Amino acid sequence: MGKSFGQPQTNSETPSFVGALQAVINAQILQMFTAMPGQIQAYDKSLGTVDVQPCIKRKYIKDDEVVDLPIINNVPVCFPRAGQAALTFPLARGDYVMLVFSQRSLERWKTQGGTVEAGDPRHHDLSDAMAIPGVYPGSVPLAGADGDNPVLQNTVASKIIVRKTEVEVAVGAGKLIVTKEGKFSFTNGVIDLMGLIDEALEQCKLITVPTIAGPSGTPLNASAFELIKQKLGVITA
Amino acid sequence: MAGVVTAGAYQYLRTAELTVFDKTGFGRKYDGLRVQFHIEKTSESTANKAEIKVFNLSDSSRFRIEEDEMSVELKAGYPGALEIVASGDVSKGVSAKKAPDWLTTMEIQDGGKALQEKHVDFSFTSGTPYQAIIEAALNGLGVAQGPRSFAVSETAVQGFSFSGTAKELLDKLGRRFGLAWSIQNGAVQMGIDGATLPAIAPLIDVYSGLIGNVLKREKGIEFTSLLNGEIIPGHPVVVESRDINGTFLVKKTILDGDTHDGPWQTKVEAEPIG
Repeated sequence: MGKSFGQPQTNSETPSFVGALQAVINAQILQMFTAMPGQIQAYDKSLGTVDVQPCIKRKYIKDDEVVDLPIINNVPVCFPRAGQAALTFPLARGDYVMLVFSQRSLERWKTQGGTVEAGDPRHHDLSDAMAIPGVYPGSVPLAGADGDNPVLQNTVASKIIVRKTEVEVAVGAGKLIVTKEGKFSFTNGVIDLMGLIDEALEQCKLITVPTIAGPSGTPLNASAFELIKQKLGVITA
Repeated sequence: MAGVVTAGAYQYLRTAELTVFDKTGFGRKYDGLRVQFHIEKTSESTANKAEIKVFNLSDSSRFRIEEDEMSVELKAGYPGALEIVASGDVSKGVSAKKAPDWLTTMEIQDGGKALQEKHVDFSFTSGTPYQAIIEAALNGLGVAQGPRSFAVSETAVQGFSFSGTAKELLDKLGRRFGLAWSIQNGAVQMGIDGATLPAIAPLIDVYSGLIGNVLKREKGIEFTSLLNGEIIPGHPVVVESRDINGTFLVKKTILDGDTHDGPWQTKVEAEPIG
């Protein structure tokens, strides 16, 4: 018997009902896109859209061909945003995003917003993707993550760590810490600003000036400087 | 009423001519053999199916038909008026000895390989006319282009991406824009759903092969004529009968024939043009 197209891949000549049903279901599932990683090809920051190359290739079993999925154009980027507030990231070619595919066509919604008729009967379609920045493969691990606390960072040199009782802002060797008690710490890694001020106040308390009768005594308001030092101590972490 | 009498001019002496092509496109013609066929065609995008039985092919021909990636074209009709009644890829070919004959049975799907296997992976930028996307999908099937009659003015304002078989894409676009498409005799055709394609409308009346009465059905009409390969789903047909007259859209045909005996006819289901 000829082994041409459309032949079942089993020993029997005709597929079972269950087999046929499974084939139909599988075919439908293959046409249903849900989510997958993609890599940015272009970013339009004024429109908040990216062109994305889906990262998972498609294999056509019939002819054993493996192909790239096509680039998806004008994919809206999901930055955290509400009202007048937003948090954006500097997306660039090569960055990864998670593509999420809408259950119904977004073609009209992307243009008009609001509540619209889909205008196209397609479901879970490749064209109806949204991009969420953030997903990366294990081969590109993220340095500087904190297992316990949220971190906002630019991996080049700066980050903000929000701990339970304090916030740390670090840029290079510079570091600012604010605690929940309202205490501060500023340092460049060598010099601590609060300590420097404390030192300056201590020196102010010891100031003497030359007079005709010899060096003067310490300032009359040394106690005021001491008071300031004490206040500084209260806000120093 | 419009309509062209063609095959009906010489409707005696049954004739069939079978050509079998290998995957390189080389064809070998068989005529003069007994051929039986049952062919079902619709205006839908699933493959039209045919079962063709040929008696007493030579050993080499029988073996050849059982090879991979074979396709056939069956012409049938009358001397001087042969029409293609079936063509397509052989999905199954098997021979068996039924003494004293060798009987070779082929299952054929019109455009079957293209429908199942031709895939397209498209990415269109914003503003691409959907007309162009549809035409790209039609071309993506990799079969001959038949009649087309549609105009889609919308553009893909947000771009358009697709990965899958050309059939899936054409079905998807057809649903959206109200278009019907199918492969008939190896050529893809597409038009507005419910409307006929720009094609010659064969005239069917008692003089050109109408058998019995034209029956009224829930959605249209049904009739039988002498074998007529020019009645093609998606195309118009002109019917002139005692009770029912007019131009109809052919939805389905069933062609049955045996060069030596039995039926030699085309059953037709057709609907009023929408």
